Amino acid sequence: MFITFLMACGADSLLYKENPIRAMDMHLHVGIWNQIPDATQTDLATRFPFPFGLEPESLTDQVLTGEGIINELDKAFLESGFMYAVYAPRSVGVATNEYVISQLKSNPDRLFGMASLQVDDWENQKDVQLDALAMALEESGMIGVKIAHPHQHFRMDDPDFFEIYSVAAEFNAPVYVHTGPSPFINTNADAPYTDPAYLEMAISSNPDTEFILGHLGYDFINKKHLYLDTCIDLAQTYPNVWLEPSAMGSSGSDPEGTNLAKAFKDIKSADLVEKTIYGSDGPQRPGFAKDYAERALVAMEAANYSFAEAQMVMAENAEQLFFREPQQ
Amino acid sequence: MSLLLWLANAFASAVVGATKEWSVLTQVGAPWKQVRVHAPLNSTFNIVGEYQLAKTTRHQFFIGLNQLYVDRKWRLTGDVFAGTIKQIGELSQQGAAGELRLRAGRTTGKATPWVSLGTHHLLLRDRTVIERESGIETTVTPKHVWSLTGAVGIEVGFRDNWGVVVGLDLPWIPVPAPSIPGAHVGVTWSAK
Amino acid sequence: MMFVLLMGGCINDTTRFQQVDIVGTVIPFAESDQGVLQVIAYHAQYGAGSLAYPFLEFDRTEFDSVQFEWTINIPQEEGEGLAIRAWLDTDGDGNFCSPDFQEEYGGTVVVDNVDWIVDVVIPLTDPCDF
Repeated sequence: MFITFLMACGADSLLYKENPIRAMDMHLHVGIWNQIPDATQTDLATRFPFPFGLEPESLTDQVLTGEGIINELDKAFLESGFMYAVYAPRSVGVATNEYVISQLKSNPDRLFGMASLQVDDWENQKDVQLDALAMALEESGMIGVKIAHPHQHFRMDDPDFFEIYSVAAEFNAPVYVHTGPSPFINTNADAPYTDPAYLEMAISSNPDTEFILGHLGYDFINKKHLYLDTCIDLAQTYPNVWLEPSAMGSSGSDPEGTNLAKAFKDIKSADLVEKTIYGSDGPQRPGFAKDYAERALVAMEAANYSFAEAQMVMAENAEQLFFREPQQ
Repeated sequence: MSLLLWLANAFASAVVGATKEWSVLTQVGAPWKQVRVHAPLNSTFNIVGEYQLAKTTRHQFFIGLNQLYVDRKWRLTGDVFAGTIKQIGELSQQGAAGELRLRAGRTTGKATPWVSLGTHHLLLRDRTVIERESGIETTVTPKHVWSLTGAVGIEVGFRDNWGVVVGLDLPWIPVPAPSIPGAHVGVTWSAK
Repeated sequence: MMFVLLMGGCINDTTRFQQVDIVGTVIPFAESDQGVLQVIAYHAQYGAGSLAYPFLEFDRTEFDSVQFEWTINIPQEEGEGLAIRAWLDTDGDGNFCSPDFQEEYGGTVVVDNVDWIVDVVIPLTDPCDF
């Protein structure tokens, strides 16, 4: 362990079982502080350690940009990162497709984007929003779609929204779906918004759309696994379902360090390593992307992943899903 | 040789307290800036006024009493402070505050180490106003925020009445979350 | 000392509410429909500019009857208007419709004038009205 620690100190890459391992982070956020609702700004500021919460805007505006993300990727020895657009004015705020596209330009070889769309006035704005989503996906570097039912307050089983998945399929853009109750204020924790069982109708009726079940149904409010088994069942049943373990293994959400290891263990037992894609949900603070990657590697080692299996999770599965070929 | 004459003994300044003359400490740092003034009452007690600023948003005004406990190779003093905090921005808050603080520092030598530890208490009063057809009901709910303050550093004396201070700030604001450590440099002055 | 005492009396934060009594009548889709009545109160509109959106929930409760009286405190800091939504939990699972059960009905009423006492009649006409 001590030798491993020393090796890590002088390392210029992430290590798994003392060997360099390639990695990409498919879940990162960018944004602008004043596009976050006031109540969420206060909530976030209270979570930052003192004195960061005193002037959170200066901190976040450094980190939540394309350049900030590249810094975090470099610190973490990550090859590339996927930045998410967000349209959740009730809860976490707005980071527009246009903003994400503008940030991609800071390093188009290493930064990619996941588009999103506004759903609040769907009855009147559906066609406009779907067109805007299609336009965003036409941009180089925008390679997927991100939606978060608990943040955006629409049900997973509402067929009115299934056209989102058709548009995504047209562009071969996998759809990342937040599963499990969210820790943010003004989110909806009811089962139809968080339980991936409610997504089954969408998954089965859109076989050409790839669905990524983000956070593995983790309950961030009570800090425990809630829908992990459902996520695993869906991934075993449907070829177009993938798994992503972001945020649930952070020191804040998993202080004992056991939840992420259990998730990786259950994934391996279910023979789903090839359908699991690494993401962190960073950069929640400077250094988070590195910290989470290391926690994921420790958890995989605890779950007896071979080097080849860990390499699949950390990079190859994402390459297979999003690019159909290795990026290196 | 002349440098040694410049480096006079440095103790009993506004850093450790129990000063025999009017003394002032001014320091800048990240995130804390501070001005502290000691006015001696007698050989045991000082009146202390202190203004502290964290970043550009957290202002604390304190007035207090400093008492000398031990004065040998090390000096130990204690403070009781009362005052107010006004914090602006996303974490805006304002209320009465108080602190019990212990300060200790070596009394001999050119460079004297010092340490400070305190228990800090902030009282916030939140008001709820409910407007009904029958009238308006107002309730005030108090909330107590407990923090720990701490700092450690070195003071180097120049001449008889000047000093330079460097220090590390290690607070827990609020308990139980440890804060990001800070650092500061400052100047002390005592009247001859 | 006076300054310290004054600041000791100062208020940190003020939150304001308007208290309103909702007198509600819910009309089930079918006369035979029974179950716990779930009622949710929303600001009809919230936020401004790019952060504007409809229906921010601020309270919810449940009743054993389709006639109810509910006293709510409407936050006054932000948000405009009032909307009341109701649905009958006929299968008793706590969720409005589910993959296994699609026979629940809901209804929403936007209150135009929010007075001290608000009478609402909510027909439950929308099957799994999302």
